[in-house]
Parts: sequence; C-alpha cells; structure tokens
Amino acid sequence: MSEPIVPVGVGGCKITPTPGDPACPFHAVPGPVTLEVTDVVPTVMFLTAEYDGKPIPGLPSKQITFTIVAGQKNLDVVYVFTNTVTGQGELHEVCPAHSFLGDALAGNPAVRYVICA
Amino acid sequence: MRNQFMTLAVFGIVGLQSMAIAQSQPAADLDACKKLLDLIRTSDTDRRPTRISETLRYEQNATCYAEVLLQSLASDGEAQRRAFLKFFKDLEARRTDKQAGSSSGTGGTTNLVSKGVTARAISVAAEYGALTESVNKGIVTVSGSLEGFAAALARQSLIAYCPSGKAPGSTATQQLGCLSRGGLNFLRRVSYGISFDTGTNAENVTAMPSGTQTGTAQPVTFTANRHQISAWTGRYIILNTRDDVTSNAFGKKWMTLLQASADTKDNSGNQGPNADAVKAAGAQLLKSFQAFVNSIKLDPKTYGDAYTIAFEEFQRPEGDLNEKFNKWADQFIKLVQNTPGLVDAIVSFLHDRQAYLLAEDELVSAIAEKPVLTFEYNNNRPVGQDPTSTFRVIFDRGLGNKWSLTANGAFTIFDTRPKVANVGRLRDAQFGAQAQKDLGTLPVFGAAAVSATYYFQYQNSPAILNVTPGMPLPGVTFTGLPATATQVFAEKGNLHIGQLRLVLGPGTSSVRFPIAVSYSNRTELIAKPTWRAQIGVSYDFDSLFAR
Repeated sequence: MSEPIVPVGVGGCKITPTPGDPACPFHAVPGPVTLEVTDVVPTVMFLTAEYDGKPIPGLPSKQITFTIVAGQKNLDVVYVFTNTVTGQGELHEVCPAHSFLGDALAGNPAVRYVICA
Repeated sequence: MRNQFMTLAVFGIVGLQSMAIAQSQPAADLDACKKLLDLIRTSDTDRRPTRISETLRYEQNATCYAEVLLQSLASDGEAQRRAFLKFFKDLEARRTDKQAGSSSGTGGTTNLVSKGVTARAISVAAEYGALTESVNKGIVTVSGSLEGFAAALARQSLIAYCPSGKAPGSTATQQLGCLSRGGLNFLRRVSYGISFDTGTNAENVTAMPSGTQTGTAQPVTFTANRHQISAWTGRYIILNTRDDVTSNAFGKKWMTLLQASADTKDNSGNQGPNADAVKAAGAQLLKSFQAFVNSIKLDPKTYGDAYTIAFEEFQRPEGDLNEKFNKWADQFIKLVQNTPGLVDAIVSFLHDRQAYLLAEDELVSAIAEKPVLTFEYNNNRPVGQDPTSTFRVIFDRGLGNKWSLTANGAFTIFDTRPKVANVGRLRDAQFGAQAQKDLGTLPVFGAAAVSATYYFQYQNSPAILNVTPGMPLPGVTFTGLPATATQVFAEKGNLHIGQLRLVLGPGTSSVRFPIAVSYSNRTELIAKPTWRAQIGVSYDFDSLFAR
C-alpha cells in the first residue's frame, strides 16, 4: 500500500482528516492544538480525554488543548451530553478554517482519534 | 448464601440478555450503528468522506462494533458462558452500597419540617434530641428513593438501562426488563424512610405468671414489646418543575455544575446535585473503552485492504448503504472474532457505557427536576404511646440567591381510637415553615447552610402514654401513680416552636452535621417553656454507588 500524500496545515489548521487512510484517519503537524465540540442537539462537552496516554487537564470543557507529537498517537475522548438519546455535537479544530473532524453522538460517548504527525 | 447467589444468577442472566441483544439483527439496524449511517445519507460532499471514515472505524464507532460483535459472538455457547462468568466477576468486585434524618414528629430529629427531597439511593442519619416530645431520643433513619434501587441494579447490569426504552438491537417500542428514562423518572417520585430507635428501652420483655407457684419457683410467660422500628415513611412527589433541558440557560447550569471542582460543589443541607457520579462513570468508561479497542489486534495489510475497498464502496452513490455496512460488518467480525479476551472486553465496555448513560440522565434530572408539592405518610410507633399516622403535604420552592422556602401542613390520627374518655382519633394538626440560606463553602467548616423554622401544633387530643405497672417508661418517672393505671395523659395545649439550624459538610465528603437549637412554649407532656439542642450526623452513599 502506497503512503498517502497528505496535506497538513491546510487553512491554518494543524489537523487534516485523511478518511481514506486505513491506519491514520487524521494527519497533523506537531505542536499545540485546540479542539472544540460544538452543539447540534444541546448540549455536549468533553468530560475526560487522554492524548498519548496522558490525561488532558482542564476538563470537563467545550475545548481541549494538547500538544501533538511526532508519530502515531491516540486521542481518547469521553463526551458528556444533556440528552443521552438524541444528543449530538461536532468536533472541530479551533483554527481559521474551523475544520470538521467528526461527530460526537450520545449513544457513542467514547471515541478514539488516531492522529499521525 | 446459596439462595442469594442463585437469585443473583437469575437476575444476572436477565440483565445480560437484555444488554447482549436477544435476537440477531442486521448490523445496520442496530441503534448504535444507525445514527452515523443516517448522517452519511444527509451529509454534504465535504463531510461525507469523514463520516464514512468514522462509521467504518471501530475505534471511532466503538459502541456499534461492540454490539455487532457481541451479537455475533453471543450465538456461540462458549462466548456466552465466558460473558456470564465475567459478569459475575465484575459483580463481586463492584458490590458496594449509598446514604439523612427522620421526619418531623418522630422524636430524635433535628428536622422541624419535612422536605420533598430525599437521597436518591440510600442515606443514613443518626440524630439525637427532641422537638415536640418531652424526652430526648437517639434515632437512626435510613431513607432513599425507589430510583436508587433501580439505578443500583442497572449499574450492576442486573437490569438493563435503555434511555429510549428499547434494549440494544430490539425493534420493540418498549422492552420488558429494561429500565427506561421514563421509568426512572417515575421511580424518582417515590421515596421511603425507616427510623430505628437505638435506645436501650426500645425493646421490653414483660413476664406474667402463667401457672401455680411451686415452692419458690413461679412459671411465667414472657411477652416482648418491640419498638426498634420507631417510624416508617412513604413519600410521593405530586408536582415537580422541570427546566427546559434544551434551553441555553439549562445548558449553562449543567456546564457550570460539571465544571465545578469538588471542593466548591453545593453541599447544603439538601445534598444538592453534583457531577461526581458522572465523572466517576466517565473515567471507568474510558478505561473499559481503551481495553476493548486495544484488545482488537488486526493484521495491518489485511485490515488496510478491506478498509480501502469498503471506503471506496461507501463513496459510490449507487447501492444501498445498509447493505454495504452489513457486508463490511461481516468482514470485520471475521477479522477479529478469534481475538483472545474480546468477549470480556466487550461485556465490560457495554456495561460501563450503560452505567455512564444512567449517570448522565441522573445528573440532568437532578438539575432539571425539583419537587414542588410532595405527599408524605408517616407511621410513628414510639415507645409507650399508641401508634399514630401523620398525613403531610410538603411545599418546596427555591427563591433564588441561594434562598429556599419549605412549608408543611399535616394532621395526625391515632391508628386506633384511644381508650380515654372524650378523646377522638384526631390527635393533632401541624404547620411548619422554614427559610434556608446556602452559605457556600466556609473556611475550616466546609460547605454550610443555615435555616430558621417556625412550627405550630394544634393539639386536639392530649398526649397519651401507655404504662405497665413496674415497667417505667424511658425518661419518665411516675410518682404516686395507682397500681391499676394503664394509661396516663397530660394537659393538652398548642405548641409553638422556633428553631435555628446549621448544617455543615466538611471538605468534599458526603457527611453532614446538622446542629440545631430550639425554643418551645411547651412540649407535648410538659406545659412549660423550654430550650433544646439537637445534633446529628448523616452520610449520603450516592458516591459509593457511582463507582
């Protein structure tokens, strides 16, 4: 399998979704990054999260900030919702393009994002 | 012990079956998988690839794949057996149980008025003092709501929790043996309390001659007069208010509570809602989620090729999306089905996800719902007095700026008509009102709340004491009482009581210390003004249930 060519840092953002890459759904450039979860069906927040096995401080919150390091690393997140049936949010990077990274669904509160940098 | 184990085993099977999808469903029909497939269908072209990706990846769509895998693996008898053993291992490891005071008028209480809010699971309170009575008592009260029982069973997977009312994979609109959010809300309205008299005179044994004396020996018959259970209480919330949980105002309140650190949470006397249970359940979910995802070991080449084909297939507009997903799910099952420890990891993950959803719903209800009008029935069985029943209506209302108002109206009847001339069954009527101010967190003392209460009791009947010759009543001494007297009663009169009460909750603990001082114009027996002090300790066991 050939290595996919991945544009990183598009639109002033550090993380780029690479949905066709089986091993790495997100490519990124190393450095600090802030992600936020926006409300679709109110209300959703990050309850707890770990990046590269280390807890991300300052939670619960609508945003998480961590530093992307080189290599393939996991961002594990647990979302918390006001509605456990219809609750829904969207994960975006806080950057000029406000890139869409995925959905947060109440029925699936625990999610792993594999990020390669 | 064996019977206990068997009972647990039966409930365990029911709970596990509900959790583990009774009948095989196509993967795309499972609720956990449907939502993302629907989002792909309605997605714009920019977001569609990302949504396809999150649908196909087990680590981003873990609940869906856990249910797909469990459905497939549960058809294997060995997998079922291992899942069941894992369930019992978890159950044994998690067996912990949660825990405020007796209602007004039960003796041995610091509460002049009853409140509509009780502990959700179980609270235990030990209190010493008296308010309307003439003798101080030590009373231990266990109280809680039916919701607490049901939630505890759901947390241990003894029953399934399905917020929508449907078990995973079920197409039925409601599932038997499955605790729904509506069912939980109803059970929250019903609560109970049992008060135990811890005094040494709570149980008396009386000996009466039962035959002819032979020499110095006298045959007797012993009869016991037990009053360890001094009162029991049942409550039903008739009317409550519920905030609009979709409003921005509610969202802000919810976020503020979640973000509040443990040492700044509301620790007033009512033990208001806090997010500890959600945080604990979320931490546990993260662990079991990681264990589940990490347990899946895939050959990168085989998985990569299969993923690429599936991704390209999903990208094509033609064809049925559900069929494509079912095909991909079958492939995924084949790739991972022989993974060692997979069933254990799935069962733990789905169990912890269920407990997390329950904790999320309980927090929202605790913030959004507040009782306004509650009916309370209290059966009081004090030592040396005829049992009485009190029917009480409780009004609770927050006034803003940390003030709250509670008012009670009640009447008490004797359970049977007293054998005293001109005394009917109506014993008394009562009214009480309390204003409480939450003081927030104080240095050294921790969280604190202060309240001022006025209580009025109209006595229709005098207080009647049952006496047994030679058997003194605890705390009461009779002088010159005729040997044949079996009942005594005092001069009746109306009671006016005022009380100042402080509740302290040190640190981040669930312990509360109510301390009160009261002044009354008289007590039920003594027609003289008196000052009293009451003290207690209570423990709320909710935090233990959350683990």
